[in-house]
Amino acid sequence: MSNKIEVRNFSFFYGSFQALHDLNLDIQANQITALIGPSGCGKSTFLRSLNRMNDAIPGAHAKGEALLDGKNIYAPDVDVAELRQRIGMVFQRPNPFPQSVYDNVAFGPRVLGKPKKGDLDQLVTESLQNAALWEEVKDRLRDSALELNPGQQQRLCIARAIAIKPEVILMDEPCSALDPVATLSVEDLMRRLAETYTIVIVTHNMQQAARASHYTGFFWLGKLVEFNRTNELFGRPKDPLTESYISGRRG
Amino acid sequence: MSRQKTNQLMIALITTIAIIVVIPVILVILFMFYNGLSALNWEFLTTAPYNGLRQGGIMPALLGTVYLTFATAIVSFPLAIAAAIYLAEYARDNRLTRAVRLAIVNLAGIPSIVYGLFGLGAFVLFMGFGTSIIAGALTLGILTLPVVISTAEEAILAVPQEFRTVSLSLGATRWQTIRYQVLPQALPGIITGIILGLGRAAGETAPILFTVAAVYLPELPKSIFDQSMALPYHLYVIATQVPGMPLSVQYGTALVLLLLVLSLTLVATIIRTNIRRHRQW
Ligand SMILES: Nc1ncnc2c1ncn2[C@@H]1O[C@H](COP(=O)(O)OP(=O)(O)O)[C@@H](O)[C@H]1O
Ligand SMILES: [Mg+2]
Repeated sequence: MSNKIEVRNFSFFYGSFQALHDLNLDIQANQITALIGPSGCGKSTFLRSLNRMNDAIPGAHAKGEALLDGKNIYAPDVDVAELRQRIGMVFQRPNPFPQSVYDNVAFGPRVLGKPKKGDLDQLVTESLQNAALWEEVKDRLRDSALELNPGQQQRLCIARAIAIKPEVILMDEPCSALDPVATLSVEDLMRRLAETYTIVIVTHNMQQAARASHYTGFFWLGKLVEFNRTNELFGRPKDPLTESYISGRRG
Repeated sequence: MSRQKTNQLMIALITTIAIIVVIPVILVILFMFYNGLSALNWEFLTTAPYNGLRQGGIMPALLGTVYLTFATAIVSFPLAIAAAIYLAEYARDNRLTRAVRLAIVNLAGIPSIVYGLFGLGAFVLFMGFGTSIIAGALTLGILTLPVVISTAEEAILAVPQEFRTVSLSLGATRWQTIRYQVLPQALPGIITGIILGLGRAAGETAPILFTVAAVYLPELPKSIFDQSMALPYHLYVIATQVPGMPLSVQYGTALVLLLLVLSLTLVATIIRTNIRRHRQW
C-alpha cells in the first residue's frame, strides 16, 4: 500500500477566514477515501485545494504541504493545468457541457493534445465503458448530453473525467442529486474505478461512506477530527465527537 | 380612487402608450411600401442607374452596401470579441475596464457625422487608404463597436460559471476554456449583436459620406481599396441633389434600404429567440 497524497500541516484560508486547520492525513493509492462531516466544515474546500480549484478565489491561500507522489501541489513550479490532468474532479450537480455525449468525453483529450480521430474514438469508447455508460449511450453519441437522465449525466461526467487518464479522482458529493438506484450504480462504478484510480469522495451520506469507502476522514469546523480505516472509524470511533456524529446525535 | 381602479387605469395607460410607440414604425413601413413598391422590380435591383441617376436601377449602390456591410463585419467581429472577452473574462473591474466601458458609452453617444470626419482624418488621409471600402468599413466598424461589444459581453457572461470550472478541472487552460467552451456557447448571442450592429451600419449615411461613397460609379469595386456607391448615400443624393428625380424611384430605393436593415434585424431576432428556446441551463 502506498501513499498517493500526503497532507502535512495543511491549512487553507479564504482571506482572513481560516477554513482548514492544520490537516494531516495520507491518501492511499487505489483506495476510496471518504470525507464526512456537517455542512460548512471544509470538505469541499479540502477537495478543491487538492487540484487547486480554489486558486481563482481572490485572497484564497494555503499553508503547509499537500504532496502528490512526494511533490508539493503548491510548489511554485507546478503547472496547474497539468496538475488538474493528474487529479480529476466530479462535481455535485451533474454538469455535462451542452454538447454531444461524444464531445463531452472528448473535450479533455482534445485540449490536452491533438489526438488522432481513431485514437479519440477508442478513448471515448473506453472511457464510457469504464464509466458503465457505454451500453446506454453507444447509439446516441451524437445526441446532446442534456437529454440523458441525471444518473447517466453523472456517469458521463465521470467518463469525461477519466478520459484524460488522471491518477486521482476527486468527487464532491457526486450522488447528492441522484435517486437511490443511480446512487448505487455510481457507487458500484467507484469500486471498479478504484482498481485503476485513487478516489477521494466527499459525502453527506454516512451509509455511503460506510458502504463504499476504504478510509474515512471526519471533518468538524475545518479540523480533521479522526481519520482511519472505514470499518474502524465506524465500528470503533476513537473520538467522542466522531461517535456522536456517526450515531446521528450531532450534525 | 381604489387600488383596483388605479391598477386597471395604469395598465390601460401603459398598453395605450405601447401601442402609440408601435404605430409610427408600422406607418413608416406601410408608407414606404405604398409609395415605393411600384418602382421595385428585378431590373431595378440588377441594373446600374443612368441618365444622371434618373433612370435605371440601384445595383451598384445595393451591392456596394452589401460589400461594405460584410467588410464592416470583418472589422467589427475580432475587435468586439477581443474587447468583450477582456471585459467579461479577464478583468471584471480595473482601471482599464472602467476606461473601456466609459469609452463604449461615449462611442455610443457620438453623432455619426463625427465618425465620418474621424474616418476621413484617420483612415482616408492619415493611413492613406483614400476614399475606399476599407476606410468606410473601419469607420463603420468603430460605429458598431458599442452595441456589438455590449451584446457580446452579455452573451459571454450568460455562460454559466460551472462550465468554466469544469473545463479548468479537466486540465484546460484559461484560454482553452474561453476558446472551446465559453465562446461556442456564447456565439449565437455574439452573432446577434453583430447583426444588430450591422443593421445600424448598413443604414448610416454620414460615416460613409467622406470615406467610401461615390455619387456615380456604375462599375463595381474591384478591391477593398476602391470607392463604391452605397445605398444610404445614393438615397441622399437622389433625394436632394438630382432635380426632376421621379418620386417612386426615391421611395423604391428607400424601401430596399429599409428591407435590408429590417431583414438583418429579423435574422438577429430569430437567432436570439432560438437561443432562448434551446438554452437548457
Ligand atoms: N469562496 C469562499 N469564500 C469564502 N469562504 C468560503 C468560500 N467557500 C467556502 N467558504 C467557507 O469555508 C467553510 C467551508 O466550506 P466548504 O468547504 O464548502 O464546506 P463543506 O463542503 O464541508 O460543506 C464554510 O464556512 C464556508 O462558508
Ligand atoms: Mg461541500
